Amino acid sequence: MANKTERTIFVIDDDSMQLQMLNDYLSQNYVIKIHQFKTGEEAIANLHLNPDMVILDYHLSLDNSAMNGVDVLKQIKIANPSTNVIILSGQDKISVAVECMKHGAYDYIVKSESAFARIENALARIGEHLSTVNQLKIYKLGFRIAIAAIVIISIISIILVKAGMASAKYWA
Amino acid sequence: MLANLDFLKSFTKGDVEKLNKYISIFIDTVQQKDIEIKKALEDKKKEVIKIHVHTLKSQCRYMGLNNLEPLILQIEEACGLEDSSLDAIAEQLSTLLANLNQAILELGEVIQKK
Repeated sequence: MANKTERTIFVIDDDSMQLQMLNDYLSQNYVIKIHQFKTGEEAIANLHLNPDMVILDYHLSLDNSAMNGVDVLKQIKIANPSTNVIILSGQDKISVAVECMKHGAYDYIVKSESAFARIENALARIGEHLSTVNQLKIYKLGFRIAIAAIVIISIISIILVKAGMASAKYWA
Repeated sequence: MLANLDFLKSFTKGDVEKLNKYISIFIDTVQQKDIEIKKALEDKKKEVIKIHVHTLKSQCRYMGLNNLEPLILQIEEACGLEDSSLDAIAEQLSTLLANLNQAILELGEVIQKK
């Protein structure tokens, strides 16, 4: 995935063990900038760092007034709809997964022994998607430059033709 | 031994320092949750118990304490019901915490050996 291009990733989880394992796993396997946050509020305050992807815990806090995973997901999507958010959860419930997907989550992964392999797959898919989007941007830019060049050449040609005709008239 | 460290050993690829780090985090979490769960039980706050137990669930999975998962799920479910008996939850919690304390005792020995 990010072996060629360095990407920025947010990991948001209040579970120290999960946070540490994800940090070790991601920094071992990918060339990425990892920003860790224990609360959704901290992560939201740092959205100006423009994460390419976010790994977000569904259950974030004991405090009822604090943001939960879905609240954070909604805020991230409002700030930048193209940010890919992977929800990590201890809940193996389809209704919870559906709720997250409805709010724009890229994937829903249950915290278990297979979670890291699934995260790896999701990151690979996101990486491919981001590369395609970047390539598309480059093609679009190239196309615009080509059109601009054609227009400029056409204008110059018209000017030269007109100048040639005026000059021919003068000498005649 | 209650815990099965196969997953963690494979995850850390034989890095003993990392393995010990995760075990230490688990031991700290269990000790902290033991206090917090008992306090929540005293305060009769089922929702708080549910959240603490939920945190322990994923850590137990990584520590290979899979045999505790059915009990954790039962406690989570009971805590989510308004009319569930607090005495029954207290009994289940007592079993869970006893198992977890036994597990961290054994895991503490694993760290010392290494």
